Formats: sequence, structure tokens, C-alpha cells
Amino acid sequence: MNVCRIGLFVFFLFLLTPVAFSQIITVGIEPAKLTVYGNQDVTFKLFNDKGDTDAIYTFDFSECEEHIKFGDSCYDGSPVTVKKGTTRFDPVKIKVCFRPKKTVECRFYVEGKPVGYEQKGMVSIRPRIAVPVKIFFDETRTKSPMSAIIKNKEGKKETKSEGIIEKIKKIFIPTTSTTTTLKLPLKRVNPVKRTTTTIQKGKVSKSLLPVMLLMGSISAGLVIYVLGRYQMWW
Amino acid sequence: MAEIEKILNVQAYISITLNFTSLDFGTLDVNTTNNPEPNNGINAINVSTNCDGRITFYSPSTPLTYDSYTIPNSNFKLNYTINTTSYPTLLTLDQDRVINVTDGDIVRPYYYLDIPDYQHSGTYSTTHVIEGWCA
Repeated sequence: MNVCRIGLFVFFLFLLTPVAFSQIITVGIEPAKLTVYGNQDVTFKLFNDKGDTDAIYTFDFSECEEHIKFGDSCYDGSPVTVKKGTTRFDPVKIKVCFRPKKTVECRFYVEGKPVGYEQKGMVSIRPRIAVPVKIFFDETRTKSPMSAIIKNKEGKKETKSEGIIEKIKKIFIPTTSTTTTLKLPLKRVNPVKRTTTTIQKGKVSKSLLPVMLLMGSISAGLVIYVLGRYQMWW
Repeated sequence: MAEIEKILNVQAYISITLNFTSLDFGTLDVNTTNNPEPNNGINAINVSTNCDGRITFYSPSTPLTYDSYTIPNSNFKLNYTINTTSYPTLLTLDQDRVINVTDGDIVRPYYYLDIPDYQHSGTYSTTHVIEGWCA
């Protein structure tokens, strides 16, 4: 009987051993590349969907940190625990506040390691994701284009965030306004009326006729006078 | 539905899932080449992405080191398979190695180590960064 119990114990121990030593994590982020125009708060989604253990993500913003505001409702740079099973659709979110000082391209890095990870072995593996960021400095912008108020067909206002940046930028570049209102299809709100003047050959305005006659008389007088003087010299 | 939704961008994402956190070549003899890591073929990286993905295998910033002794990065090598396709050329990790990946790819790196003659005995260690990114 005892032998059976020991056998069962050993069997379960073998079953449990791979689980106990398995430390699979996913390091995942969305967006994984982005362009930032002026001051912008970007929500990043972190996920560990294929991991079998919780992960701790640490961030290295050193290349971009000059252009990022930390703390005060923005991400403060501390490690983030991303539980196993979190997906892109049910992620851990962090809000990174970009405050560009100049136009620049940089990268930041997200490194993941299993919770409770202890370095073993000769070569310790550090999985990470690099996120390239193009930052455009725009001193006139005071509000993020990612939170644009959009009027829909029914005229109701909707707030759109994330993902609309680049193409909206192509269509509409706000300058000093603090609120961006887009109404599509785009129409010219105050079209500038332009007047064009066309002068046709051979037609002279009646108001110019006396002036033209006067100018002609003076010219004719001058010609006669000059010819007279010329004849006297000869 | 707001008309603006017609021009919304889809955001890029990428994730890598590793089933290994370290490499351990075990006890090796001096003056041997291409000693395989015992878990070669088991170690795997799963890629999930909607972008033009890359994986960079970084050259260790500090080579394998024990006390004041080192094994140069040129002795640390890898080749790999992506799904069922093998890329058998051994690449020395004295420089970063970048490979193209797409969604659903399973990359299996195979690591090898050369031990020079007269290498001082000891437990050597280093760090190796594996990085996923969108090009």
C-alpha cells in the first residue's frame, strides 16, 4: 500500500515538475510604433496572452525621456505587472504623456520577465519589444489630436481617441485652437470671395475718353513743337 | 456611425512569447567548437503581430565572463528555423542579427559555443537580449 502511495506521489511530482519550472511569458504592446504630433497622451496596451505565468514589464525610456512627462496622471516609469491571460482586447493600460521639446526619432523598450524570476544558467535571456517613435515638435499645438471631437451624421458630438492621428493630420492641422472640431465632408466655412478684372482689347471705358483725348492733344502739340524747332536748326 | 471612422488607422502591435529564460551549455571541454545548447530545438519564440515584424538577436554587451576571464562573442553562435524552414548558416553573435518575421511564426534559435584552448575554468555568464519590433 505504501509503495502505491509513493508511486502515486512520484507520478504527480513528475506531472507537476514541468509546470513548476515553466516560465513562459509574452511581451506584447500596442501600439508598437507610432508618430506623435505635439503634446499627446498615448494609451499603450500591454498583454501577456500566451504566458503561463505573470510577467513584470519594465520600461526603458532613456532615448525619449526628454520628451515624456512622468507622473501626475501619466505613467511614472515604475514596473508594471501584466497577468497571464491578458489579451490585446483586455489589456493592462498605461498612459504615456509625450511633451516634445523638438522633432526627433527615438525608441523605447519594454522588457518582460516572469514574476519571481531568478537568473539561472550561463546566459540569461532578456526578451523585450522596441517601440520606435517619431516625435514632431509643434509649439502651436495645445491639445492632443488624439482626442478630437467629431460630429457624426446626426450632428452629435463624439470623442475619438487613438489611431486617428496620422490621417487626420493630413486633412486638418489645427493651429492655436484648444478644441479640434471636425465636420466631414470638409467644407470651406468662410470662402473668400475673389473678384477678377478682365480687360479686353479694343474696348475703352467711357470714363477714360476725356483723359485719352487730353493726353493725345498734349502729345500732338509736343510733336509739332519739336518738328518746328528741328526745321529752324536746318 | 461617424464618417471619420472611414479613415481610422489600425495600430501596429507585436508580441513575442519565449518558453525559455536562460541558456545553459553545461560543462564543456576546452578546445571544442560548436557545442550545442542542450535545449536547442525546444527553445522557441512565438510571434504575434500585424506589422512588418523583426526579431533582433543582440550581441551581448558584455561577453561571457568569469572573474577577469572572458569568452569572446565571436565564439557564441546561433542559427535558426522559422516554422519548418531552416536557416542553417551559423551566425556569430559578435554583431546583432536581425530576422524578418510575420504573424504566427515560430522561431527556434539554436545556440552553440566554442571554448578556446587554454580557457580558464569557471562559470561564465552573460546576458542576451532578444527583441521584437515593427519595422
